[in-house]
Amino acid sequence: MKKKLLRLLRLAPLALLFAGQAFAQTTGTLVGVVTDLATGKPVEGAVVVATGPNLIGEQTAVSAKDGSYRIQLLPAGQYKLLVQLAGYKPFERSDIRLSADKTLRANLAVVPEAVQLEEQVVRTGIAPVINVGSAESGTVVSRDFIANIPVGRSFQAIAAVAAGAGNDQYGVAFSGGQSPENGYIVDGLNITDPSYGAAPGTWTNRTTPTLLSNFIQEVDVKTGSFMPEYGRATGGIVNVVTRSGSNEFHGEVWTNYRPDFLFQPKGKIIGSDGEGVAYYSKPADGAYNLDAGLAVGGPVMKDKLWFFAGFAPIVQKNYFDRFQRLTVVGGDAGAPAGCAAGSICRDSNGFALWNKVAGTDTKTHSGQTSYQWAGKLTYLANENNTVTVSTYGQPSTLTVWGTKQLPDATSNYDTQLTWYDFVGHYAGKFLSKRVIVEADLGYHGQKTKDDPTAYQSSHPAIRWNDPTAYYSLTAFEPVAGCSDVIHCQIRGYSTGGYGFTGDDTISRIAGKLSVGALFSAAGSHTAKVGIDLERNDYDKTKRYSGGILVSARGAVFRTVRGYAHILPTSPEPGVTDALADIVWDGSLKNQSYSNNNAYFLQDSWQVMNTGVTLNAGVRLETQEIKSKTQSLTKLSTTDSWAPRVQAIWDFTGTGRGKVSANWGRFYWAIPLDMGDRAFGVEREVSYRQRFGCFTGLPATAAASYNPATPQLYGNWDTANLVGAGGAPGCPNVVNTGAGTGADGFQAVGGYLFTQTGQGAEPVMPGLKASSVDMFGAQVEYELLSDLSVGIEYSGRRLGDIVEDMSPDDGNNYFIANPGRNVTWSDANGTYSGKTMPAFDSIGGRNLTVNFPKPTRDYDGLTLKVTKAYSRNWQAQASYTYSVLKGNYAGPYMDDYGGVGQGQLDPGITAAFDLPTLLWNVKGLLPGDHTHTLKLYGSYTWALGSRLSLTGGGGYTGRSGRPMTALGGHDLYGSGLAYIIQQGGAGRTPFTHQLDVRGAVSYVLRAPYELRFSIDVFNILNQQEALLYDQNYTFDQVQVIQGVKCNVQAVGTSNPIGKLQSSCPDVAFLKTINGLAVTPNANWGKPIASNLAYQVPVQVRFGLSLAF
Amino acid sequence: MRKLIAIAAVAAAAALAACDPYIDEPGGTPRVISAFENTGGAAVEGSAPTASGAVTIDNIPTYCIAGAVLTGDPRAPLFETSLFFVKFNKLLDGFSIQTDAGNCAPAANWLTASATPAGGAWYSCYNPASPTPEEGASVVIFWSPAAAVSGWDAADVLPASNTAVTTYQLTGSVKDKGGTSVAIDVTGNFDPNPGAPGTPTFGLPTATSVDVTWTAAGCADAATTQYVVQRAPDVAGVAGTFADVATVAAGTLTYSDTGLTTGTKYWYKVQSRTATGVLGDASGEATVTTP
Repeated sequence: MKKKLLRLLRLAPLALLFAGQAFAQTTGTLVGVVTDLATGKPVEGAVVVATGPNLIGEQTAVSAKDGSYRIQLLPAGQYKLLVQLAGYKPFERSDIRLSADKTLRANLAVVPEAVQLEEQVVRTGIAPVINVGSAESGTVVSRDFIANIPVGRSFQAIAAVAAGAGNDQYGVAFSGGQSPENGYIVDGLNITDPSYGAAPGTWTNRTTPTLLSNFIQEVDVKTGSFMPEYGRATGGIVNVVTRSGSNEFHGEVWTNYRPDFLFQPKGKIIGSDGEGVAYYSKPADGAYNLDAGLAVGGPVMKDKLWFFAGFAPIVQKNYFDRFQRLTVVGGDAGAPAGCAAGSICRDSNGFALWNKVAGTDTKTHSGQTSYQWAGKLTYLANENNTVTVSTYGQPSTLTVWGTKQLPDATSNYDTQLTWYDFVGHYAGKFLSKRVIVEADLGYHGQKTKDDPTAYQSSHPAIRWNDPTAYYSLTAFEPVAGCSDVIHCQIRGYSTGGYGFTGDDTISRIAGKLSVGALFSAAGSHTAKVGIDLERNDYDKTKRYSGGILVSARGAVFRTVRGYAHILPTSPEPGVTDALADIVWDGSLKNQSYSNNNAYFLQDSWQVMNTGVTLNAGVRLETQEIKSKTQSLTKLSTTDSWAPRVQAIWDFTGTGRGKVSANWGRFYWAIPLDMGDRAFGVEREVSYRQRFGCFTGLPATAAASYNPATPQLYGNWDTANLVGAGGAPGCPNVVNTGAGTGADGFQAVGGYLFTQTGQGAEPVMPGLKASSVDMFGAQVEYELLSDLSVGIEYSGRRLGDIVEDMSPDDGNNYFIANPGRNVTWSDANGTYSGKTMPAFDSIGGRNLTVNFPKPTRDYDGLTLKVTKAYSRNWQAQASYTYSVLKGNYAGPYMDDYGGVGQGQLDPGITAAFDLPTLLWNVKGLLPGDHTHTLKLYGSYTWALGSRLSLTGGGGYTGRSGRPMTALGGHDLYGSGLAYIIQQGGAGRTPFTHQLDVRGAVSYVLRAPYELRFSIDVFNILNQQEALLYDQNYTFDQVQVIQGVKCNVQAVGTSNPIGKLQSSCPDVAFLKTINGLAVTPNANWGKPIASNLAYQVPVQVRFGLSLAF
Repeated sequence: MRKLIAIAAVAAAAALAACDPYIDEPGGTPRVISAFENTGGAAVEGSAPTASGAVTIDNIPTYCIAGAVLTGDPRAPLFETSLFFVKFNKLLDGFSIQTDAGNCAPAANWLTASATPAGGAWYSCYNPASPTPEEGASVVIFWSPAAAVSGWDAADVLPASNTAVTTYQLTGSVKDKGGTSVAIDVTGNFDPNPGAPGTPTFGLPTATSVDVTWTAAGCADAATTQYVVQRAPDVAGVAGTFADVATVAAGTLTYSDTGLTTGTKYWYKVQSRTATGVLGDASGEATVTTP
């Protein structure tokens, strides 16, 4: 008897495994079977009590006839289970680690009182790493991971540890999707930015911190194939659960300080090759990164009401040094032998040689200050009813550097950026705990306010850019020793104010109600039905610093944007030569809102005695976007049915392995940027004039520019233009409005204003929402205790997309599903999602073309080894091989403009605007990184009872991103014509990032623990290029159709030569006017931006006192 | 188990690598899919290519050319070019077309022209770009007085008669990247454009008729240039849709329009027309109101 018992104990009795879908997004579930150890039969009526530091009170369940028990609504954390039944010895099982939105199976075997055990054999260990109840992809990042492994401070950085995940410009991206396609959930509330779709804190082109890890209990990263209770996302779900109080007072005071100024890593010089201005990061000027904070949690009333509160200021400061440089030209004193007279001398890597102009260093800075708060109250009315309210938020002041090229007192630009949330959550158990009701009500707010200073409000930005010729830097500022243009050439220069600015007020009110039930039918079922309602509001005020944005090209000033409209009384609609016909709006306010509703039904069925779990469900999403400004217009999708199925087979029968497959359709909710830009009013007036014809200004920029008063030009508008027919000294006035060529008004003389932008864009009848189909399969096996190996295939295919398209070569736009063959008309025209007129700008022919179907195909294979935290160590290794191809990257166009600025305009990017913008786009998309290898691990050494040491490390190795050759588009400008197929010009280099952490903890006097840590990020100081200049030429070109270029040209010593020799067609390329194309000397070389290189080595010190 | 995983990994990686449907150059035998002539930014399409790829482009307007000089056209000098575009189904070997990437002199003298205007030479540029995925590269053939050209921005207008059709035939063969030859045989027929007549004036209208008079088009040939009289109703102060009223014989500069309605405002304009029926430019518009 004894022997048999011992064997039984070793074999199975305490298995813990994931089982089925959990009930709630913020809590987990424990299930299991209580058996009699002596007989192996189920035991009915055993009382199972769950207790844990994160659980207010205790939760109990009584085992059913089949011995099964289930305890729901358990906050993530450590648990202890106690089984009590008359006639049996009380049995206790601790060290159960439960995650939010997961169900853990804990089978319990009880020993009859009569049986005497000589030896208690208890298998210690923790939750298994295999989730045999779900086929969802992803990972849970626990506090053990965050505490011991060097990762960034915010949840975005934490989510990036998931296998295959990578960062794009707006956050973390999964499986071929883009970061704005993710859903970001904190404590059950969708906190995704309602305006652009990124995580709050990640604003368009401006980043402030997201929630700090000190306030986070865990991050559940779902990289795909999640069940129907989650939606509005075609990427992944980042589900964050914040910390709660407990029955004991616990708290933490911490600081993390990255004194960048102490270390002077050798930074790469940032600048366009062969140009006269460059920068480098100069932390020694005082750069640092600091967060400090206080968090405390405890009981207000023991077992009844808990609180958690935290506050943390976060300060960041970055410094750059800007200097002038003279390019070395053949024939100069000191020029290397062999450098041809009059041409730029280059090093062996193909970079232009240069000499710094002494005494031209200018310090510039950027930075931000944020104050983050977090708070939570947990109230247990009784064992069956819990209410939680939480709040978190962060006001920030962000200082942006670079409003003008030559730094001075007016260069910096401040923005106030705030996000904040309030969430209320109720959970109740009814009908003998077999029915669970959950209700959530939340408010998410965002506010931005751009610099209202007098300087910005009165000074337009002037963007000096001549795609056909370089300026001499001397035209803008004195340059000692610059004898001619080639020695200090510059293609672009900025003066005046910041340009586009605006204020946003954004909100979301969200309500969710779900009812879950447990029942038996050929096995056990966990079914759930729910509704999920959201109302989003977006008020946007837009303006340009100084009222207009001016672009200067050679000697022509073109006011490209100014909010204004032309009165309907103008003789020709949208065009006038009379100032009296124009109403200058100054700023523009658009208000829009959306109602995003969803209804779902799902069931997780554990088919009896088979080890098979079938999860199935469906979600219906509806979306309506309306403008308050133009109330007639709306986008409405009502038939977004998203079925999802998963099948999982535990082939071991013991929870140690699984084979699974999944398929699902996922819809994306379009952010309100579309409500503002497509359905609001965005009327602007453009005009152009020759520089020399401003009264009172000299004829050329070179002769007149005074860097001390760069705003001089910004104050001029067409009112200063010399009148009709030109004037003495400016006979060549060409007063063409934007693109109106031979307009009759030209004969009148004077200047011509053209209104751009329309009221509201029409929407395709029967519009379908954007969708992605996700499918995949997994095999996972627990090789050793707590250590599993797995292989996973993930596939993603694009369904419909929603984009704006132009029916008339860029004059008007409509919203449609590109490639869908629907044609309709309204009073203004006829529209089709499939066929479009196009103009052959070289041949002069009118063509009709078919839009291709949007595609984005992702296939990824991941090998994964996971060692959960136990016996003082943890490890996680993953390798992903993936291919991402297609013609549509997503809501964010990475390559717009060719030098990393991108375009985040969800649903209304330039993609699919015109057929000519699509040619050659099919290829390797920017998010394609063939190989991704991630290694994380930590080990803790206990040195006595008080002292412990922890060493941790993280490594990410990743293939570079594909690069292409872009030319100027005849209507859209630079960086939008794919000369060769996307991704055909090679990749940026493979990057290695190795981060290490060392920490020492000392218990001063229990429970006071002092912890000191040092993190070194990028310890190898790798500074590979992350982005090359993709503008092969600034000339307007047509693209080379059907070209088969596949060459690593970028990053070589002579990228242009390499591309031309491997793809000879490129060498023959002509402009649309039949001129030989002039290549951009910086093509295939790093862009002139601090995004160009990996961040150099950084050291962070952390100090905390916890109790 | 580990073996199984390894086999699955290798098989899946191989399948992913082998499946690459995204590079789809139009392949096959090189052939001419179309040819057109572009003068002044507007294209005149040629006939469908014959089996041997020959294309004839008729009715190319010459825009009022006297000798080799373009005159009278308001769009001059911007559009003083005559460009022949020969479009292919695929990309070609640029070095079989032009001497090198920076010189549009025909490679190995591949191009033969039926006539070469004095003072210049024929050039051929390889244009690998195209406006739709259905089209491949094109060969751009033009005449220029310049000694060396690297692009067709140097093209000049082809001299053509202002009274009769002028024909240029361009023949030769070029190669695709695989070395397969493809013949080019393009015939361009330049039809004179007489230019715009003067804006019409009117005799004293009656209740139902009016005499419309105009001056001859700037490049008209008195013996062959005809005129088309067009009339439109008045719609809220602007001309409605013009319709042809009559085509008058060469040498005639007046027309008596009848069948009008009393007390009504009409708009008129006149368009020149060659003997072969090619329409020239239209005059300005003028109004008259019947009593």
